[in-house]
Amino acid sequence: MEITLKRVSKQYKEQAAIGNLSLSLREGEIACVLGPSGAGKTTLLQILAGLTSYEGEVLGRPERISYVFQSARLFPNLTVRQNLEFVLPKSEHKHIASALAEVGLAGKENAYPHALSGGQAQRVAFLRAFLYPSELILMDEPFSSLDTALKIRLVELFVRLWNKERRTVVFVTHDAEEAAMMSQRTLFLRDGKLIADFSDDSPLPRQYGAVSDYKSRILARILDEE
Amino acid sequence: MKKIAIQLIPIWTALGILLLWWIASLAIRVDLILPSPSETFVSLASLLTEGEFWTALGHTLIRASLAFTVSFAVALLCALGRANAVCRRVSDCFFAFLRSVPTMSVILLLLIFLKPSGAPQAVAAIVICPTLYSAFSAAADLVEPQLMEVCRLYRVKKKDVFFRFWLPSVASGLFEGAASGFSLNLKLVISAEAIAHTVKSFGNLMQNAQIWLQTDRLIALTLTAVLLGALGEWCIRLIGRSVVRWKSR
Repeated sequence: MEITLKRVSKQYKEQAAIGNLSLSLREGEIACVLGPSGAGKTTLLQILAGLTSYEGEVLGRPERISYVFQSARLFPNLTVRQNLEFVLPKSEHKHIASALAEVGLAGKENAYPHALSGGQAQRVAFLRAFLYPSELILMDEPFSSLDTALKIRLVELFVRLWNKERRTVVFVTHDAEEAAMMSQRTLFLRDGKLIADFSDDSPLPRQYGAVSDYKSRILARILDEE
Repeated sequence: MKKIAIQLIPIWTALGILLLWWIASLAIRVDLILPSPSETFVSLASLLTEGEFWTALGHTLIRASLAFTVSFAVALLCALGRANAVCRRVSDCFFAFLRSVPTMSVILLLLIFLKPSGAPQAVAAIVICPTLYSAFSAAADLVEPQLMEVCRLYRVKKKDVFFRFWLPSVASGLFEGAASGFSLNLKLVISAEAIAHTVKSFGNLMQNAQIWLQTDRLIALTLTAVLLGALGEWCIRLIGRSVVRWKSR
């Protein structure tokens, strides 16, 4: 189902974080949100998640939404398996073991988060988002704290998981390579307004470092801001 | 080698205190004022053979346990209530007031309102509760709001949030607060028993020892109370460490 924002605004004290924004997200597409700091990217995600008040309308917001944060945000007192069981409906519990194996975490079911590396913890966070029966996945700079090699592996993992069940994904990033690798659409915000919206339907994931018209447009936008 | 030396510090400290005590008793040379460590330990050994001692100890521990349980429950409920802004303000004001009331006022007033058998546990409960509340509130305030946000986003049931996330998150703080509060609780019960002349009580044994100028007996009883308090703290911390296994070392 399409998600539509109609003249959505969000004010923080005297400043508009989002100003009169209208856009539609197609079902099953991966859209990335780019823009300078303070452009309203995280606020947009919070509005989509229903975490903050706003003016205007959001139509088609699904009942269940997954969210991946910059840090994994795993519960430190629960093991990896328990972290997943904690949020997932009972019907999904039987998939946990195989899902962990698929993301290279076989044998880590009983590990606590403090025993995981950053990349491993983020993989669990991705699994949590994908195993949760949501129709929308929101991600706020999910790869920013990771090194390049790990980032590429996680992007590939993410796309592999997404390909199984093509849910709508909106993610925020500052990284043009991330945007070029794994998005089908780029939404560029500045001062809470949508100033660019362009797409690329080529297959995912795209190669890291590859040259494309889509990536050139993303870079041009970013450089314009600088 | 250094690690062993550090672990032996409590023993060296205790031996140092015993040495100072022995030197002081030699200097004073009046048993009624300060008996020597050896006389005190003889008195302690004698106490352990008395039925009256064990009866008094048992009753005091029951009173202390009752007072502690009530304080713990009230403090925990009020700490939970901090999620509501109004409850938080009311609790903060109420416990700030309780904390400011002189302990002796509490004891003397409760002796007017209650029987000598009931006053000590009421005193301890009233005085300990603000201490436990402060510790529990501090633990509750440290619960990560980011993880609460995850619970909200993924629509985790409130029951699960409380039992599987919130309670384990504050467990470490709860046990630490409880450990610190336990020995204070015991001291308060004993003090109140002494003032109230509660029958079958540790405090009353101490009061009688003082009246009969049995200083060695009084110090022996004091040492017993200190050891019990330390043992209680140690046990609570041990339980805490085994419950909060998931904390990274």
